[in-house]
Amino acid sequence: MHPRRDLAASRKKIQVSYVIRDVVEKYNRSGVNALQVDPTNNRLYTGGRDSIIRVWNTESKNQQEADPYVASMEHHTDWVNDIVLCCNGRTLISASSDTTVKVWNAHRKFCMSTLRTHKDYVRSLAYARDKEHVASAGLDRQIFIWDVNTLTSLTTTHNTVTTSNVSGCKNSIYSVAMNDPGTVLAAGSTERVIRVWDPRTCEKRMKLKGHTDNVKALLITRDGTHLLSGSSDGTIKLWSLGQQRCLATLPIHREGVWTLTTVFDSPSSFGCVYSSGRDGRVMCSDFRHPDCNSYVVCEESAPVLRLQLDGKSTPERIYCATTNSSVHSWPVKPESDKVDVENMEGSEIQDRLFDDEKPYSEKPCYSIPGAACITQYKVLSDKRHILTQDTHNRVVLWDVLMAKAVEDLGCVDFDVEVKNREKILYVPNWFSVDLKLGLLSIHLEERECFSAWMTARDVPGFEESDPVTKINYGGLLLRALLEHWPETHVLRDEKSTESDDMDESSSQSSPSKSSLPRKPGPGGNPFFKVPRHTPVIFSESGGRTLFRLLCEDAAGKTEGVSLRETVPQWVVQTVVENRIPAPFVKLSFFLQPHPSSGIKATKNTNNKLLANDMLTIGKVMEHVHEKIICAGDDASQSSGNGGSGQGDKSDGEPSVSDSSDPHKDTTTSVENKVELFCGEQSLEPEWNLRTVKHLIWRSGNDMILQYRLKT
Amino acid sequence: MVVELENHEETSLPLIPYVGIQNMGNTCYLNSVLQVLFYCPEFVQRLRQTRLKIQEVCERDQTNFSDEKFNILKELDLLYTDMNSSRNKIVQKLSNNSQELPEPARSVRPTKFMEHFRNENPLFEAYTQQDAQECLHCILNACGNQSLPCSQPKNTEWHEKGQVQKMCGGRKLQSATVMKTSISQNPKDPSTSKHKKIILKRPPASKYASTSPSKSLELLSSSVVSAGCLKHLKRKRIVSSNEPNCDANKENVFGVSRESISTSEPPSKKPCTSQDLLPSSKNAGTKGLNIKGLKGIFAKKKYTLWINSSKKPTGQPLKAICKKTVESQAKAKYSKICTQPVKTNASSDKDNFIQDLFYGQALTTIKCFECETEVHRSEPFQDISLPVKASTTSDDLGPHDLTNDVPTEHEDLSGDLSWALSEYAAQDILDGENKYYCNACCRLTEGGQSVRFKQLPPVLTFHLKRFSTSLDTCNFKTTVSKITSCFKIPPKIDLKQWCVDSSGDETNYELFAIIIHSGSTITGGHYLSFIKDTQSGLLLYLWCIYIEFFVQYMFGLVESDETWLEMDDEDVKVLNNEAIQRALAGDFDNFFTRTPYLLFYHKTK
Repeated sequence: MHPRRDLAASRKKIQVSYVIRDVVEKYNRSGVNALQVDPTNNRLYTGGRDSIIRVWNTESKNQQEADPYVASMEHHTDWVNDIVLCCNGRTLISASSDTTVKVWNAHRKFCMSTLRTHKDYVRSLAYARDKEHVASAGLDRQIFIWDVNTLTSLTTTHNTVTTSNVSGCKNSIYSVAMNDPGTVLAAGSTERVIRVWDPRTCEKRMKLKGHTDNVKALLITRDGTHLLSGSSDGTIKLWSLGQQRCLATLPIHREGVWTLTTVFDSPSSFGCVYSSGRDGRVMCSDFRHPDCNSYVVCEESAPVLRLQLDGKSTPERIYCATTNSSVHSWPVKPESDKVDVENMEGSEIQDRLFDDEKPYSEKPCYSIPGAACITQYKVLSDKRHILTQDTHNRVVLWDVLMAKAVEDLGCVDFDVEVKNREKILYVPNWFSVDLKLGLLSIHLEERECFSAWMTARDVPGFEESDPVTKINYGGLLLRALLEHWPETHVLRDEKSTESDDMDESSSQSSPSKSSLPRKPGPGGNPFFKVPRHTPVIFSESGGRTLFRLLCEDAAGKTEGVSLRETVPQWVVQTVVENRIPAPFVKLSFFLQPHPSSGIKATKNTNNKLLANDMLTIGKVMEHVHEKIICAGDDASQSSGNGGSGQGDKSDGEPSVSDSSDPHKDTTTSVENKVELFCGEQSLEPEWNLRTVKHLIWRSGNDMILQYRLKT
Repeated sequence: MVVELENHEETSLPLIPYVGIQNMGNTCYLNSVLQVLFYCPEFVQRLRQTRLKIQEVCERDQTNFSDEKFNILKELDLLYTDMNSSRNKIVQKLSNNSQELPEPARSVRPTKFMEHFRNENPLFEAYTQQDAQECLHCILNACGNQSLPCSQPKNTEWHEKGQVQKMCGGRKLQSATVMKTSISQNPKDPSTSKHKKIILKRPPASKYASTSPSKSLELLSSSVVSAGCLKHLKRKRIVSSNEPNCDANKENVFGVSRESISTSEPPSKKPCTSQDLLPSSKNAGTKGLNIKGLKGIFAKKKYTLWINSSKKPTGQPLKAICKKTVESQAKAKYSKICTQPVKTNASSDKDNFIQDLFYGQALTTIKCFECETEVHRSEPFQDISLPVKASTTSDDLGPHDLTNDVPTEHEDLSGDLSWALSEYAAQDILDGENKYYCNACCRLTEGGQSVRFKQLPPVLTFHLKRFSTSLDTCNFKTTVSKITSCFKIPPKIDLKQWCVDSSGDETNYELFAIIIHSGSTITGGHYLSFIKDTQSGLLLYLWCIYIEFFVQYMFGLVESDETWLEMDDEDVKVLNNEAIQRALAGDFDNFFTRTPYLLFYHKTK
């Protein structure tokens, strides 16, 4: 039935992740790594760190006029590092830190295929326009050259891609470039050397040494004779590939140069080249002039990740993508201005260059707004809510179980809010969080996913169910995430294990789409659902993405097949076989009379007790009240006798049970009669044992609780 | 007995004023280290001071403050006293040129030291061959941790508990045998944890695997230890205050206690259980408690008498100690020299002389390749582990070497110290599975890690990583083999280019000792040490008079005012200039497998 499951088990551990987000994430959440302009259709494509490629309408220049947002292209699960628009704007290729390269139909905005040959982040793409070839390169030191026409003609039956593999790079590649005819391929890496190949034969041509740090940006002239490189060492270098030497070095940036762009007006040389990087200054350097004199186009407030020129025949404006989520467009000097520069005297130019000169544009002519990016988070002590702060300084409270925001607190002090929500409560960690997308990503791993067992009545919002029902956060969440998967509506095994209370209460709340004549299974959970648009991601622990789908899409046929192949056994156990692999955690502790209580310690009061770690102190108080104080002398006598042979008793026989108490109101009355202490600390009845153990007792030894009667 | 036989043979050799240390069954690793430390005057002197201080404290309070945990330190000092007296005897014999004097012992036998050393470090229990570097660590740590009861590591960066935990978690907490007990995070019982050490290792995948600068870097778990020690000291003080004859020692002890209290970090919640000490234990938590505070405490506790009558000569206890330990005239002289600074320096003494002498600070910088943000972290180091170029492979060059496509020139093959230091400081790329979590990017990114020196110690130790691991395809296990390639050792080196602040600290160093591993495998072989003796000009002179036919030969050495010695267990040889020059260039005559392993440099002015 599941042919690949064994295989999956032998692979790396698979984790389940999901992203808490809005149905439509209209604006970039985090930095924008890549830009592409489609001039014929007036479209701008942005590849964001929030994993989404967005399409914008550049026609509506006036912001008030209309919303520039056109569409989102979502399939990546990590930063989109680079995009290339090819085939006259029909096809878009994207490279991502999820280690994949994806081919998109740019007009109909769907993902046509996913290329999984890279083994690490794919950092850069290069495009040979004349041949419609795209090269992808990444931190795995590999470069693959793809024929776009082959990629777009892939079908489910005809799905083998032959590519050329350019090898020889010894370090992680951060930039790659090809000339339009596809005769020269260059790659910049942390090796600090630019390596050049002939992509037609994949043979090495040369190495260019000179930069003293990572090379992050490359441009090659159409004829493949000259190359321009931008490096983290802060310089831009012009190279002659024929002479294999550096012709000029421009130290025009204060920090690393991350992006270069130009409009080629001659096949063999560079014209005006625009550059920017960590210092946020966009510079324009004229390479037709022997001094390569430069001027400051504009100044961004954040490091610039990518520049893209736009204009029908000559560049009119430049798009600037930064580590902030908004994209700005700045006017550039028209061609005529260059004449002035040429007429200037050399010395004058030098003075101007190193002056803190004013940028040409003070204000962007147009901006695509960005959304807030979450920058810090704090998982609250209930291990269910997360407090976050974003770049707009808004503090938001999220519910991990429901996968949604609960409360927007506005611009308040984050630390104060965290402090206000501190509670004396201990719940084991059962998930991990990351913010790389600028949104909350929650990761569930087999190791800890099931470690949080709760009593339903202690969980706000779940009170209505049977109060003694034990719920497992991880288990419930997995069921909610996969509730639309038909597989989960088929009860394969009528095992009634420890989670049987779940079976009882699990109604057929979710509509069973399965028409199979089997008995309907659990399908989701009775307590909550996650938003249908929630992306669910299966990936190797901390590594490659295996499969991404939206929560609601699990009902689909093809998705069902993929799920069957990728869902790891530990998740299948929970959502299909309806078993939670983690047992309750038992805690052993001693109950002793408080020294001030005047009660003499009888033999049995030293007995070790055993209970579920989520048992409340109120229940322990009840136990004290009923079994020790009210039971009186004869009870203590009899158990005292038994206490002598305590060692024979089956594992920790004297236990405090949580069994549903018919007379529930005794709890409140018991509070007024009995007091419990752990060390100096008086214990509240609503605390549970593990909270006391972890936050008050704080030792690996068995906990000692002391009781006394309230007077 | 084997030893006697050897001694007999030895008599045919000329008598020279240097004392060997006898091998007690594969203990050459220990002997070579002991000899090096013996020729490190700062160490010997500070060792003596510390021991006297401890002894004073111990004598004061026999019941509560036993000196058992200072055994290694004590025995080491005794051993050195012994070696000194033996040397003086030889000098005496040589200078008198008389036959009456009995043949002096040419070597000592460190039985008692070995006994205690093995007790403390079970790693060295069996009579097996051991690593000299490991041995050096153990000796230094034994002396460092014990030097003062309230000492704490100088580097305060690790003091936060969170930091310590992070280190234990993020890095590999090596359960090496040096570590007697694992670090306890339990604040409940500080008294049970006496010498807890943390051994920090870099993650194994990094370039510095297993032999990082901080290899086996042991740190006191300060919050726990200081609290425990505080208790000791306070008890001591109380007891002593009840005995009027102990007045003489007050000032000195007071010096110690003041230090101890002012340096103790806020201890755990219950630092002391002793009821008498409650007021001071409360105050002990505050860092800057000064002498006035102490007086106040003791005034409250009615120890005013003890405090006020403090001006009395401190010489008395020292004399008493001298009486005990000094047996011969030579010994007395030696003690006098060594003890003199105690009087003057006692108050200015820092906590831990091992920290002062052998530990420096290294600054590790990690730069994210994505956002190019740099983060810095400084760590203490005792020795610097340097790579040794394997002579057979030329393609195994560092990442900074840009010419690694073409075979390197022949002359490049023998690495020297500068090359190794550059290699050590060069950027180490954290990529692949080793990525680094960048706080600015909120994700795992590639990064470059590089190391520079922030502070250099007076005695600098270089450790040469002469191991190469290779996968044995037949047995499917990794084999470790020794790199025997030649490594040039400069007699002087300036470390300025590897320092953070090139303008500041003194960066010139001069070689004074080499520990050499002789043998072709990593698992076996022999250790011996080459040591430069700069102090014994006089001794040598006397010796030259005695053995006239050697005068000519020795004259060159006397002139240069430094004598290079070859210490091979009980055998000590004087090396001539040519031999040592060849050795520094990596040429050990016929001993092809002799390779320098540990290098010791002194800071020069």
